[in-house]
Amino acid sequence: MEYANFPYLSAILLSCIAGLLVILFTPEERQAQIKWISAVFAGITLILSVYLFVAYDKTQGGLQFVEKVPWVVSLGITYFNAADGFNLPMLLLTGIVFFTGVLTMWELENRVKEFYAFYFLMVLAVFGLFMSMDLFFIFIWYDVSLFPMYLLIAVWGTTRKEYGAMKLTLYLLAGSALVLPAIVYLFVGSGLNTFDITILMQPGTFTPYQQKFAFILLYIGFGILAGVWPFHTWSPVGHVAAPHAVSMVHAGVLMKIGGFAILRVGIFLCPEGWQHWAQLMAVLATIGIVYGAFVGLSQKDLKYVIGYSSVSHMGIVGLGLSTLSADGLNGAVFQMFAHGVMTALFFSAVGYIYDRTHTKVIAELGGLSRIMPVASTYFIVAAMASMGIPCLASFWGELMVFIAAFKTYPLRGALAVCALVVSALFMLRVVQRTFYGPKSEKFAHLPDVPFSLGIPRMILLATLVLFGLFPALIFDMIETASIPFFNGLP
Amino acid sequence: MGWPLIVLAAITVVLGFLEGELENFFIAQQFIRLSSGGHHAWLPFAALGAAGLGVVLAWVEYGRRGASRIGFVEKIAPLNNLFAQRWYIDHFYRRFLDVFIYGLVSRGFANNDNKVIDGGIDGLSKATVASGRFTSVLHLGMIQYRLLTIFVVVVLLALYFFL
Repeated sequence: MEYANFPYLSAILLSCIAGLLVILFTPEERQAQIKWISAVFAGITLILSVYLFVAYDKTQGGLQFVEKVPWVVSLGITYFNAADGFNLPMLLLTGIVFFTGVLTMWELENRVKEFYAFYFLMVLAVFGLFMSMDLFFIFIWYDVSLFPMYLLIAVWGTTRKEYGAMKLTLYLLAGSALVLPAIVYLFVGSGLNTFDITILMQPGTFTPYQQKFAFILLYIGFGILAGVWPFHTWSPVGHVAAPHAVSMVHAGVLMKIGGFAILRVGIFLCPEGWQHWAQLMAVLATIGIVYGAFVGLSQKDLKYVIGYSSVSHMGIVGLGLSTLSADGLNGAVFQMFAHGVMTALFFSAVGYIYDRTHTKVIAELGGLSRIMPVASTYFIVAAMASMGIPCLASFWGELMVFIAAFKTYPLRGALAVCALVVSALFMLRVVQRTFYGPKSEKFAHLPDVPFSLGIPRMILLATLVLFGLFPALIFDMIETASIPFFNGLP
Repeated sequence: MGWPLIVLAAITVVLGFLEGELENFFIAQQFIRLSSGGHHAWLPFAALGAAGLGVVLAWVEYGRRGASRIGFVEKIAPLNNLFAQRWYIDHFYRRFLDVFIYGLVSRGFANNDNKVIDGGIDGLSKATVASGRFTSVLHLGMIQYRLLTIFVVVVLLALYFFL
């Protein structure tokens, strides 16, 4: 464990808080100024995330940039942030999606100040959860991230926004209601009077029975947020209802919180519980992959298609986590990163199209590649990533997970690979119906994406290509955490 | 149009002449294993026979003097359709997608999502709201509801303790 000589992780949180405060003190009518303030502070968090990703010493591995300050000593609560091979890709992902989300909403005119304020609050909580090594803070950040989501969807959303916001909040609070007793149970069961994950994860802290009981609560609780089948139905409804930037964070980052928390809390603290429930996890993940692909096939709304594609792709993350192997964990974390960037690009591209055409219904679109070739390209590249085309980041995560799954569960691995064909089928179908064929005359006058609005999409696309061509940048990072973790297992 | 075929045919002929060398090379690299020979001795005769029959049929239908120059396939309508429709493979794919994938599996899963999973959750939510309304009715302050509640609770307690 290496303590930070400068609190980079806290600086990320502080830049979110500072951005939030400056936005709150800026007059409502200065909309352009609020957007620039948001872009600057989001840019600072992105730069800090990139710096941490680059500065992390892979040869040394372990926890780095550690910040540890006791908060409530009598309860063993510590403000404890650290970076390792598991959370650095997630911090980078959050930085990228946060910054590009701010730019994607550049044309927003309705209650700009409130929107960016809640957006900053949500991302602050997401950053906090990813970097925290204290169970209490993880739970607090988890709940804080949910509250702004309700308002962002209910106020700025579109299709059935109140229903979508309410459903999402109820589901995620139900997950939270399972997580809290599990955390309290672990705190009490350890007898160590601490929420510190590095202490609680020491072998022998919990009995096998305690681990089995706590793990299933944590898996279902966090799994609801990760879109685990059959607790996934909040997710497509929420995606469709949310404004574009919120959909980007929602599908790109928020769902990853679920997968990441299963890893950081469930698997780290209850490895024997993880081994006990791995078969169930694999079954639910495989059903999610196949089911999400087939339901996506019958959707008529562009955002619903992406929503169900997310359910299917998050199933791949779940399958990777269930393989009980370093390859599976590496693939799952890589897939979380790649899917986050890919789905952000999807929603960003759909956002531009919807803002111009005012429809997301596939049948009403068509021939868009002749009207908006650049906007179409962004969507089509994201669709290619979704299909797992080589040289794009998603390919590597999926490949790694499927290799691990074939070794551990050959039948479920084969089923998951078959579902990829269905996934490719529905993506190609959407691409063909939306972007090719005869163009709709009522949209013929619409402009294509100008360079300034194309910047966030270009960043996302470049990220997909960069990590598609150089996957070792992330794999080497993840291995610094996954291999020591497996070596330390009982 | 003929050039690609000519080039491919030329490559095939060259590869045929180099068969022995290629086989030795791949065996040395352990890419392939030798199949045990001698079990399929009828295959060359069958292949050559089929090729010979094809040549004879072609000569009868097109080559000989006074040939009608109409292939036998064109005279048998179902066979002609089979080839014209490329063995109906595209039809099969289309029907398979429309009936099985879109019509059965995809629609079935989507209905399950909307009606079973979401329906169950919506039902649970409505039941929660209904139970809240019922409880609030009991607290309206009307004496007969309170007496009814007391009576029901007393009966339940009696059942619990005495049965």
